[in-house]
Amino acid sequence: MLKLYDYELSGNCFKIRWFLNILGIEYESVAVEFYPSKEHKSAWFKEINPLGQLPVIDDDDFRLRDAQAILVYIATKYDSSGNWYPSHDASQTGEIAQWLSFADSLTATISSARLATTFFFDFDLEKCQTGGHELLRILDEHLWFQEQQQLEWICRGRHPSLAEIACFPYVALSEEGGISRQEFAAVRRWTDRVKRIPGFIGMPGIFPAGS
Amino acid sequence: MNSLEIAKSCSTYSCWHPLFALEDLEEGGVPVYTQLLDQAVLCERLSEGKVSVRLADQQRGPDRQAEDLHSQVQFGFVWACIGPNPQLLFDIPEYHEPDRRNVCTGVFGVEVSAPRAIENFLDMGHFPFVHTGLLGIEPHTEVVDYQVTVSDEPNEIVATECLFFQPQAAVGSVGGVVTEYVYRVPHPFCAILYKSCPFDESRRDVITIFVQPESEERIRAHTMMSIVDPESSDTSIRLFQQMIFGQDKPILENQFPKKLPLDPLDEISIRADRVAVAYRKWLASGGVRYGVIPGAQAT
Amino acid sequence: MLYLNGDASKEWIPVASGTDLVPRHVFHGRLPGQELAIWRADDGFVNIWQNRCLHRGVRLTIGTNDGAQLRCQYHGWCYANRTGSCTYIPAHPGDSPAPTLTNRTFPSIEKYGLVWTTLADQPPVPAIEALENHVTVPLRAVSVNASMQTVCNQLQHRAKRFDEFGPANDSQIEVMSSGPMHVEVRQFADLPDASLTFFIQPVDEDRSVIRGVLSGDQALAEPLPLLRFFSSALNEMRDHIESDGLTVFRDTEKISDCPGKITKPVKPSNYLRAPSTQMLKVRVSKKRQEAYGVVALELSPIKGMLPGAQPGAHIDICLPGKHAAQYSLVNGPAETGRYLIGVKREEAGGGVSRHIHDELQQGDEVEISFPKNRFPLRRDAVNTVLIAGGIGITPILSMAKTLSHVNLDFVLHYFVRSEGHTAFASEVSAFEQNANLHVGLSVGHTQDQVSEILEKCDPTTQIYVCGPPPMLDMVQCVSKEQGISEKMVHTEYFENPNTIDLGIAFRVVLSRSNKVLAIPQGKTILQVLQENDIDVPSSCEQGACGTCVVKVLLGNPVHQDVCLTEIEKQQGNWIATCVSRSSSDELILDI
Ligand SMILES: N[C@@H](CCC(=O)N[C@@H](CS)C(=O)NCC(=O)O)C(=O)O
Ligand code: FES
Ligand SMILES: [Fe+2]
Repeated sequence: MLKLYDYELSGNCFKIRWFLNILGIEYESVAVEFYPSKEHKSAWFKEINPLGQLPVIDDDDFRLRDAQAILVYIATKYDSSGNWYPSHDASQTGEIAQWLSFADSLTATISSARLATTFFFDFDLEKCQTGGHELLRILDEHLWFQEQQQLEWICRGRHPSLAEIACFPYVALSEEGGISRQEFAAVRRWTDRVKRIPGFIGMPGIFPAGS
Repeated sequence: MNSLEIAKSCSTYSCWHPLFALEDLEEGGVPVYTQLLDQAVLCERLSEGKVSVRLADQQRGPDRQAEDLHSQVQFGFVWACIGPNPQLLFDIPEYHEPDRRNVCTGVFGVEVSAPRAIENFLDMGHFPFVHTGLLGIEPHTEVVDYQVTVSDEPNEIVATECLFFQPQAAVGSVGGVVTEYVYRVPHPFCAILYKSCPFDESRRDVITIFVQPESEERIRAHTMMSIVDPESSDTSIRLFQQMIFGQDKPILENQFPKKLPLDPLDEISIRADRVAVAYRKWLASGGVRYGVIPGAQAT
Repeated sequence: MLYLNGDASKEWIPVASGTDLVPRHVFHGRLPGQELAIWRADDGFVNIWQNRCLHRGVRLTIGTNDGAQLRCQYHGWCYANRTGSCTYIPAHPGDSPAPTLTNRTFPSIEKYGLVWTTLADQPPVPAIEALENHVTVPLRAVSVNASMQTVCNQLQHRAKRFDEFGPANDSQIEVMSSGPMHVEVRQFADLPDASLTFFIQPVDEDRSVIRGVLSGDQALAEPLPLLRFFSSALNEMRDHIESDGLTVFRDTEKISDCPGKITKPVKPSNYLRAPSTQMLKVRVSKKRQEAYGVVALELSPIKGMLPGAQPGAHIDICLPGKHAAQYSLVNGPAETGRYLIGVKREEAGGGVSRHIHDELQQGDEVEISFPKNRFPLRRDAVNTVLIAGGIGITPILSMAKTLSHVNLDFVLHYFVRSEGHTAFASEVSAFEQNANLHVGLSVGHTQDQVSEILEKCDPTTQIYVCGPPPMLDMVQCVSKEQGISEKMVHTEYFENPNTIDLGIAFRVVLSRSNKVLAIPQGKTILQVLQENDIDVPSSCEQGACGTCVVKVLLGNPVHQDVCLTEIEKQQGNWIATCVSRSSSDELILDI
């Protein structure tokens, strides 16, 4: 069975739990206590991921780290519909990769801000917040223009893609890092739409949407 | 009046406040910063379980002890008092029982006032909506009437006969049960709950929240469990508690105003809020001014 | 050209685009010093509310919009479309919240593609000539960390830059006459019929939102390039303003420190009982024959909005010179624009129903009471059984609509004399397999059927019954025989079947009026009060409607009514003055 090195309050781990749930794939969760004991920096875990980061999967002895890489792997291997990662179409694939990288920037800013406010990590909070706010502005403008073209999702196409899975968690958790989404109306509507995608599961810090 | 002046005029200035779990401090390590009642403090773990706490802007002279704040270690935490005459710290008798597991379940930063966090801890009505599937589930939303008593000796609030239907009350529980809670508020910013123990019907698990007010609107919430559970690992107990607290945090951060209004007309209370109503009155009559919006009434 | 008109608090302020308010969404809005929760209900109505739950101050923007109500995320309190009144408190499923428990609402209008609100009392609606009678398309709103004044100056200053990059050369700037907000209208040479107007929404001393509206006709057939152009232009302007150090980055939203007193505070002690004295004028907007001997009336507000009502609630209809009569509302949770009632023609009684059937016309005005609820619906039951007989379908239907709306399981049984007597047949059949129609059963067969229904209930099933008194008595009897707990069976009597005993004499002390009155044998408390010119509202005067209920401060009431609940009767804190008596020599009343 697929094994996920997991931490409940991690937005990056949530991406994987959620996507596995969407695809209906059973998995074994191995809890790694990120906080307070910093188990992801322990010797045993560094054997598994020398970067000392979550999440990591182990699928039939194939080990992979980095949430975005894992999403691509799972989609390619298990999503027979091809909707989440349409790899045959060059512009679509490129576009998704662009937003997967954007998602990593969200981790670097919003997730760090959240770790500073909630778990007292010693980061430059103001810098993380300003950076996160800037990314949300960019996302909001993009989504607003998608709406103008009757497009509901980050990438072109009628179906949500891995870009949704990768970008949603830290957008939805931004307020825990002290970054308000009040002015980002298009982002707020998009988070509602994402929550209504069949197979959505929440995590602490993310509220359910109206039905 | 600014926050610091309010802090100094508030009865909590002479209370003990938690700063760190002792286990999170390295023995003989460098002093660690934190904030208490709008003042920066430094905390240092010395040898043999001793600690030293002082205001960060305090110059160090030859007589180190004289400059230290009052401090003590209790329930696995370092406590300090900035005021000159600390009140007695409450006790939790269960903590000392030999077969209990006392687990510090982590400290979390929350943008809210201390009393709002305490009120949330005393509240059962939110279980089905905030801790869905764990501490409550719809449509089982009723909060049946319970008893609240406020005593002088010791000066605390106790709520009893608190019953609520829970799908998964603790890490060790299987299936839904009606759980019975007892709540104790022995300190303006600390609360203790006792709930049915899934492993031993005659005992109760103890969960505590000790709130460290960094400022009027920002806290560090320290949580601790003292439970009878021979099976679950420390990690799984901590992870369960973190999940629960992680669900409360965004609610607390969306409460406005962040300070707790003591005027009974500012927010509507219902029978289910009986303990909150008693708590607000108790804060008002106890001279608590920090983290609250004083009300007209103070009986 | 930009105009500055000093005080935004006296004008309509644009707070959102119409397209921001998509179905089942709650928009997070701002006014100076406060936050707004803005949401469109499924019927199109735009609600603009203070962004704070009455209960514990949680932002309503994190709650959910179910199309008819907004539900708070913390304890699930529900607030109704239009009125903002609290419709349900899950912690106390058996109580119905007082109608005075109402969120702070703000007026809303939609114009030029924007949603507007105001803090003032009915200021004139914005009228900007360039926007009237044209297609309007709002630009993407751009939030700037700078004061309204700064933004205004910059817009003016940078107007030329828009031209340089704009889709038009040689544009002319047309000057507006003074508008409510800071306004700029521009016209483009090669889009002769297009113009652009800027409204600036003040958010705080150091934050504003620029809301532009394009107007024109053919020119806006393909607005996307224009929208993109102005979005970039405004972003650039924003970046310029912000990099000038005119502002600082603000990390969190702050509502002004003063918590914003709740406008109509409701003391917890008032919570159980609604005021029964307030009256309301409404218009009969529709009257139709609903079934044999039954008409349906739709009652619409003449001014403002109708107070919110919960399932099981009724209103009194008051006709001059007649005793008021009670009618349950058939409204579902999504139907807040009008009250729907069913009126059966009664040959006996005070004549209200005959008047409604024979005289009342569509368009007439009638006086009604505020809704009252002595038949509240619990929404914490895994199973609910609803039983209606005849016109008793009215509250039951409202309950069914509510349970269906919140996805709780229920079964509805509707007993009627004949097909032709089936009021609200189409609404009932909408529940498909959850609704059972029992047509033309004899008394005995009805009882058999009820036994069968009740036998299937498990101990957690909540049972609601409404119909003629003999049927209610029968259901209570059968349920008692089957050992079903009294707590699980809820009934509403339209009439009081009890024989009233006025045998005992006693005294009442009126604490607030400082009076002592003797209540002799054969006279009710209410009669004596009326004889002494003490004004206590009353309606059915037979212990069914609850209008004449007053608070008891001391003494032991002997209850003969059917309007107080069993628990209220046991507590002894209330008395229906039209029928009930006292076993103590004296009753102290809170009047
Ligand atoms: N690029 C990585 C970043 C993952 C990441 O930052 N994970 C966090 C937990 S959410 C972590 O383990 N941080 C520890 C660290 O970076 O040292 C991914 O997307 O998986
Ligand atoms: S705070 Fe909204 S329901 Fe309690
Ligand atoms: Fe909680």
